[in-house]
Amino acid sequence: MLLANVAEPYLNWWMAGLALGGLAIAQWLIERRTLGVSGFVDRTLRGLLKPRVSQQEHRMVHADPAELHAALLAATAEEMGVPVERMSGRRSQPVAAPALARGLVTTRAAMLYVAAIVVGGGLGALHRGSWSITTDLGPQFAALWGEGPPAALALLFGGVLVGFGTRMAGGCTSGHGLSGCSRFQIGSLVSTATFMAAAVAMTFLLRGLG
Amino acid sequence: MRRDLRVAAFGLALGYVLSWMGFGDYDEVIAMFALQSPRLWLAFALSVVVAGIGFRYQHTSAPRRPLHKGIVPGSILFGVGWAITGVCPGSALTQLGEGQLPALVSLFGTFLGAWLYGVVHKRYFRWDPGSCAM
Repeated sequence: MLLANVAEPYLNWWMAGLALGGLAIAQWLIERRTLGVSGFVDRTLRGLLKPRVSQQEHRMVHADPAELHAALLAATAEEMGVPVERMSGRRSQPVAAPALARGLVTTRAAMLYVAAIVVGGGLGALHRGSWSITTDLGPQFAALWGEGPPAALALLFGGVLVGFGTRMAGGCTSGHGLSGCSRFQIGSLVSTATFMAAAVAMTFLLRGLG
Repeated sequence: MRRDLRVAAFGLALGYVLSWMGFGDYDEVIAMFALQSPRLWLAFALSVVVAGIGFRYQHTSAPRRPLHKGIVPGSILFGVGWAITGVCPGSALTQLGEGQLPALVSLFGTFLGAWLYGVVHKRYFRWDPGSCAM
């Protein structure tokens, strides 16, 4: 029954699960970064709105850790009004800067990531031989939301909810659902249970009405 | 630069996998939410288990995800939006790559929503929403 339910052009459930879970592990092992998308969407947005801040941040992430440490130390000393020599003791090994730089990703990288997901989706469709330009989401969507402007309005409204909701919750399917739940993070478990339940409830509601 | 390219390589892989899973297919996603097909539920659950095993053996300094006030209301809004559009942020990007032009509207909405949240948060809320990926 479960295996018979495989939708032909797509991976069956266990291959899909292995692929996505494997990708999350690989990214952690190689990048020391958990898988997540909505944060990068937000970074991309901020990068588009404030390119100058992104450039400064880019320089900081790519700065020499020792240099960054010295700069942070000097700024702290100035803020506290003490000579910088008094700041350097046994405990002022440059630990702050590498810790800051590790796992941080520049806005440019966030934008590249977002763009790369688009390209990856295209490659996936090409691989299945199903790449084509389509202007609608199919008859099921049309039955619920119509076509043309009403459909676009529904997508716009739904999209706003997705963007607003994921930022409010601090994560989405990947950040909370995959990366957070697999580490038993309480916020992620609650978030995932809630958005999945809300999506199911909304789907049943829409079908009941339609 | 090399780091940036590595980040992009993972984005490429994610888009490819999401597409191959059928996560960018409105009908597949709705079949999941309408409880008509267990395929994507099982796939998602298995991916969490697989990642969980990986994390168990790699004890992590990954960011914690505590409860905060935005979790439940934010997740409800996200879930409703997902059921309407058929997309989460990752699969909206995947759809666009697959040539599904309606994703442009969903994505525009997603960016608009994220921007709106930034404005509303600054003005009214005081908690730290954390981040999906820092």
